[in-house]
Amino acid sequence: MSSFPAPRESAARPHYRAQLAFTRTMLPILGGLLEAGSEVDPVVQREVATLPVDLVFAMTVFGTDAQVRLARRGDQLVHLDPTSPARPTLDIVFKHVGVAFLVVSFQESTALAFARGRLVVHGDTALAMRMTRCLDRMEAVTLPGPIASRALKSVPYIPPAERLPLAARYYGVAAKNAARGRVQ
Amino acid sequence: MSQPFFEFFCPVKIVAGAAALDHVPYELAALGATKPLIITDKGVRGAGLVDVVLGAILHAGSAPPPVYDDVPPDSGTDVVAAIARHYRAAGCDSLIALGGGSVIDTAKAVNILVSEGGDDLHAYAGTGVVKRRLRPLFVLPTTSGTGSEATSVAVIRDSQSGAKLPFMSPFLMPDAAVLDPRLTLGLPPLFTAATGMDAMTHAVESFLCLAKNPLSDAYATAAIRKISEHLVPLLDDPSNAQRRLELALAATMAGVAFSNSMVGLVHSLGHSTGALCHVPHGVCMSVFLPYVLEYNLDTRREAIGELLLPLAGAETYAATRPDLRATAAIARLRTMRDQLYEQAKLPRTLAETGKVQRAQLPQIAQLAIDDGTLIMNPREVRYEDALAVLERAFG
Repeated sequence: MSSFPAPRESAARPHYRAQLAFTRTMLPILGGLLEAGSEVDPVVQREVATLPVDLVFAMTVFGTDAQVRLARRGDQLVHLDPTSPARPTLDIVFKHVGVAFLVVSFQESTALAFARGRLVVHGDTALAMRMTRCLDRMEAVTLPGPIASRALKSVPYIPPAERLPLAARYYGVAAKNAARGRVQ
Repeated sequence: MSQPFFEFFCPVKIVAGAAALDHVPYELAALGATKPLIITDKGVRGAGLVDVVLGAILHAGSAPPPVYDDVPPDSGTDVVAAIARHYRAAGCDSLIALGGGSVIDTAKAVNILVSEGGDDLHAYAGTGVVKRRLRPLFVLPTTSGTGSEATSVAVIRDSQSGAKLPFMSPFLMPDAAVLDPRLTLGLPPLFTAATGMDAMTHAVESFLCLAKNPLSDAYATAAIRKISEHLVPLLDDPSNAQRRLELALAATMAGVAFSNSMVGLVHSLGHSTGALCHVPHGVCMSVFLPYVLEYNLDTRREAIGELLLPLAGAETYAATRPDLRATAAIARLRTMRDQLYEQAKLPRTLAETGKVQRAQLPQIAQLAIDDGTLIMNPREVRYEDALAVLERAFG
């Protein structure tokens, strides 16, 4: 699916190229934060514990090479290298780069994008719900309130004394993991 | 800034009205089909509806088609494979589903195998796996509730593991839905009430959930109006063919609506309660609907208020203050639910179903938050929220 070429006239438009570049940048960042969440956040860890041990989760953009893939390894999620041969068992496919841009720039929630038919889920919907809860939790912790309120249906109240140190750990672990490099 | 966008798709030809069945031979011939396999169940056969359909087809001079009448209530992959073998052995070229949700889903799955080849249905499970046009499929619903005659989804039990296999593809849409009041005239009161509230829930949730759009709204409100006007009076006059037809139309319209805008928390809870406690789907819908509307009230107050117009009519709507319309709409549904209890003993609470124990509610809530329909609910639902709604609905 993702090898299908994007329409030439779209690809030539400057805002398309800008959105694609932004999406290419943001998807791995989100993947890194999810990976970090599975290391530092008990809420995410509880969800990860219910995932199949062989899960490979992907978010891809139709017609482009923009993607992120994570796999469950042990009790954690790990961020896979783009060259990893692991095939996704759960794949969220954005139908167009503009759609992915809206979601990864936190202008539209994943739920609303799905409701509007802008993305499709290939795989078990129960697993998709659990991964969505992981994404929601990560965004609720790491995003500033006004941005989180656009990215989520509702922002759960997390006391600042709990949220801010946890967010710092998310970013710190994500940076450390990024320096280490991704796994195959 | 979020940008409005929607998709709407319904290629199903609706053939509806008195003696609509008589048009089946012509409609089949228009698609180049001459030998359909009729798929149904023992209950439908016992009610004499196969004879009604055969009568309509034979009047037109067609040869009697083969009939498979052994579809169980919770159909599995082994049944689908058996029917596909039956289809091939009989040299059929099309399918007629005569029945309720299980029969219709089974026929859609059979259509995958007989069109794509093979006996392994698992290879086609998931979203968008079926990518080309299938054999002609006509659906003749014998209940007015599921709306499956207008949806692109089928759910079949894996006969080995027991898991539910979902199939989603636009090519699963039937070619035609034939709505003839003769097919629902004999439906018992409890089934009539439960399937009617199933259709009502499809329409209400499609009007309130995240994927609502102007076209699905039009179908949803029209369906709500018909159900509000005809369901309760029909139970006092069960042989009224016109009211039966209105309900069949409403169920199909609600099916068109929710096929395009999906459903939410009522269905998440209903799927889980049905799976764990074997409460019929329509009963679950009727029980949960008012409680879920109350849960969603603050998020969707204006839209719920708009439901008062199709639920209660223009005079009541106009006489009700705008800020009170949402609660009045929910009250109207509660009144309808109480009437259906008096007329058909349709349960009003989980306790009244006699199949659910309070101790099971945490397990139902846990299953509900993994149900895919939940993502469409307008208000976020966490485990504690789902459990709270279940506690209230228990009674």
